[in-house]
Amino acid sequence: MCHNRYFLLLILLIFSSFSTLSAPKVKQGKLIKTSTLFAQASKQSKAVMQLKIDESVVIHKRQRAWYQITTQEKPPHSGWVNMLNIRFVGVSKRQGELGVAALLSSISNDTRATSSTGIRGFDEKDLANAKANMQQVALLDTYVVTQDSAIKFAKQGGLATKKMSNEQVKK
Amino acid sequence: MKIIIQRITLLIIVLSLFSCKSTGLKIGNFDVGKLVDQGVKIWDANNIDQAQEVQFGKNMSAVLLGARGLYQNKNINEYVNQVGMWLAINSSRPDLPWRFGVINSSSINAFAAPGGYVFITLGMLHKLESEAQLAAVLAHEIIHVTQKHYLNALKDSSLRGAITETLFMSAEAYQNNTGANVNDQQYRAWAKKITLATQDIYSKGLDKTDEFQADQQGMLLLAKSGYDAYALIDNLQLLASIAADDASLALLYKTHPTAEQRLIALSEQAEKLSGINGLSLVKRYNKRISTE
Repeated sequence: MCHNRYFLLLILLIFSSFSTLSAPKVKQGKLIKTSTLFAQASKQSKAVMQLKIDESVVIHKRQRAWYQITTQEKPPHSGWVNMLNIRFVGVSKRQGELGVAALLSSISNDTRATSSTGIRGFDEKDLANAKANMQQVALLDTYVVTQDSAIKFAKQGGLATKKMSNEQVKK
Repeated sequence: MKIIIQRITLLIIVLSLFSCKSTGLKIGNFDVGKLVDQGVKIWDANNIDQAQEVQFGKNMSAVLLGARGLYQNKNINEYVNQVGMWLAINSSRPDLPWRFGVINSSSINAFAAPGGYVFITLGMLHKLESEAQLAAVLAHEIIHVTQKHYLNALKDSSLRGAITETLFMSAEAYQNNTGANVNDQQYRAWAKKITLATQDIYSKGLDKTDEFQADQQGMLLLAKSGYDAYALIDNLQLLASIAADDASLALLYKTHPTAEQRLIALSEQAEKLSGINGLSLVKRYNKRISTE
């Protein structure tokens, strides 16, 4: 009986971690200006409808400068909008040592005392109390890679240098 | 008599022109002391050669890492160096001794120092979702280096006090020139000057124009290197979605324009690069970052 409980717990844990990892990264967004909803990720494609400023949308994915979205009105409409016309809906700010900040602190190997007034971050106070640390600079040197290995790394990822047109390079 | 007065006047003018106080400190054959003393009036980043620029960056980095040390994970730091070095190869200054590091902090920020030093915080790294987004952070910082933004920032009157010869000298060079050893007061004075100047520079931040240029040229560098250039806009969207008074963004927003201002400024560049496809490399990012 006891074994069964542990087995069920294990299954639940596996499924919960799997669902976290595989969850699609859908984001909530809001239009910051009146925008055209296009059928494809191109201005040359068919215009589906006009979206109003402040309209809420669900962002599914991005292709170059376009977000694929679905409107939240009924019936919903789907299509593509210029990414610069949308902003993600804000997340609540981090406070104290809870939430993401605590997670990051626990991951890091930081051993500094916890401040009771804010998260352990890099702020002006850190900078004001800083002293030159040449040992850390020497440690940094040990992580350096050669240009040859960076080129090999780029090739493994399918990256290649692209020639840019004069118009694109023009400041 | 008139000729004598004219000659005396001329002599006074000549003497005053060459009477800039110099401490005589040199790097190689270069009289840094003289440059710096005169530089208060005529500062020009182009008078600094690459060796001095790198030393300046090394000193600034020592202070930065004195505030918060490196995240001591070789795999992650090497991954960041591989991405950074590939971008640097495609930049206008591939031959600088580029160094990239992850700072052990949960804040969301990235820093550059002259001569090829670039840092990203662990907090920023964990906010990103792809290699292209990591490359976007590094590309922005690489442009600050290639465009010598920090050296040029010393022209600003509020940073004049930061220009001292010690900025461009290693501890060893300082010791050789002054006879100071690591325990004596002169050496400690060197370290103090470096620290104060670096604190001034980072606390003030760069000009907004430099930040906008780093975004625009950063997008171009991403595209040229084969990455998805719009990852830089992704990053700004992410920053824009975090409350501006979030403690993790305090220093970033003190020294940078807001993400909203930066997004608006990028509209033209986004249009210019609209025909270019690039890679995001989400899987490789997750795999390499998860090695911690």
